[in-house]
Amino acid sequence: MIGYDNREINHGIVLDLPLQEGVGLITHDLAKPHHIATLTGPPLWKEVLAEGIGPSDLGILLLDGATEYLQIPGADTLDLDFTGDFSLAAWVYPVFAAQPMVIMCRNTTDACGWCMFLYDNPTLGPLLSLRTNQAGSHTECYGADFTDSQWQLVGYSRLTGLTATCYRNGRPITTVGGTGILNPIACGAANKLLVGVQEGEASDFYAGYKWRPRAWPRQLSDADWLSLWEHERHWFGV
Amino acid sequence: MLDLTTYLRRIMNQDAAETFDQTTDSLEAIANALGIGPSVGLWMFGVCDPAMVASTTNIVTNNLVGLPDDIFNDQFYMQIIRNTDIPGAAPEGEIRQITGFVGATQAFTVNAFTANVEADDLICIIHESLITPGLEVISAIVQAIFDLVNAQLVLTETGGTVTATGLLTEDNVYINNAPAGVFKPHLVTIDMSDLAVGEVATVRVRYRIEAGGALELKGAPVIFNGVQAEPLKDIELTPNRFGVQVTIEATAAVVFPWEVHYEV
Repeated sequence: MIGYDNREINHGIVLDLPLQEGVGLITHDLAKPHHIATLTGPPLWKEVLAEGIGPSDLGILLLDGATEYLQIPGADTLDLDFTGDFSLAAWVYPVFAAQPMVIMCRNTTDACGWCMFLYDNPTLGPLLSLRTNQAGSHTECYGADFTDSQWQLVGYSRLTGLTATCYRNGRPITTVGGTGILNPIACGAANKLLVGVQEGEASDFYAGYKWRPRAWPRQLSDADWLSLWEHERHWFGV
Repeated sequence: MLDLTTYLRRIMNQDAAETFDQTTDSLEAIANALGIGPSVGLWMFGVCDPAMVASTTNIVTNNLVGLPDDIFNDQFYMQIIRNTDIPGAAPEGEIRQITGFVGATQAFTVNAFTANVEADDLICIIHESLITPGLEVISAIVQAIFDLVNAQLVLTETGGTVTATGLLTEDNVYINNAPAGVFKPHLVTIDMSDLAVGEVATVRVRYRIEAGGALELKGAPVIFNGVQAEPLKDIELTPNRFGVQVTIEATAAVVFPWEVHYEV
């Protein structure tokens, strides 16, 4: 028998939403904190094969880019108040729009927290950005060449030594600005964890399918990212 | 008969009338005029033609001109070194034996890759002497092992708290309404510590056993009345493919922490 916590990739994980309910307005966390995310809008429960976007019956969520997102109360997400190393990952099938699309965030203003978002930059093309917030300022980096309407494993590993690396499909990619990412400041109970919308819950909605947002209070290595990719890509036929 | 002396004089820019012309005087042009094709290397780089139709077995390049038919058959292998559309995704990294080649169209036939090779993908052609014998077989075995590892069920746990809506309303404790496939729920444990004198809770388990079917009750509902001397209650579950649900119907506002273990 293989135990969830015995897999190296799951060591220390603090958020893991595999979206296994398939129905209803809440979804549960496989990580030890047992966060419960509320579906606001709500996003629609879907399956990969039935949507014609892959070969499996894996359950996923479809977010409309206008009103739908997931949220966990701030008081329940103090363990996501990263102030040093951390990593964020999610499978996304984005349908790009003119606006930035938040994959997940814990505040998006120059006060505290962090945010990972996609943005189809008119000049640079689709980017995956990581932003860390400090009092009155923020630092930000990005990786390029993310694809519209295709499944991809996206994420960041951020190291205490101010560096952050962007990952796509299990491999590190060029991360512009990735050497000056300051530690985020803890938000406390004031800010929710939001999946698919930015702080204020009124803009930068994510449009498209999404599966398994995850967060770790440590830096995932290149090998960790490749392991995630190789273990899970079969669900999406990529 | 080629006049090689004239070629050499032009290569050397002998005089105003005898100057170098790349189209006729380069070594490649002379080789072509002599009917000598480009040499076949033990390792060659290739680019998939932009007009190539995506295929797992039929690959067309645009930079390997002038090679004779079937020169690569059986003794050479093709590796996809870059999936241009989705770097890192299959068939990138895969190696397959070449079984046919048409020089005029640069059309290769290979043993099937696991995903389509597409226009603009980058490949290399490798002679068998450069690679471990049976590498293709080893590659297939490794893939098969990885498939098995991925198919291993992982014992997983989650939980939460349900606050009862009230009698006549069932609240979900644990539900997997649309599993990705066969999985193995083991046990739901519900903490009834909050159940007080005069309060009641009823637990029901339902399964869906066919695609598109309804979640049907399995076993009799289990009723708990009043204070529970042993407040942790176990509900054992069985393997499932199409959906499972555990609900609780209880006096309003009673709080039930719960935990589930399952292999998925």
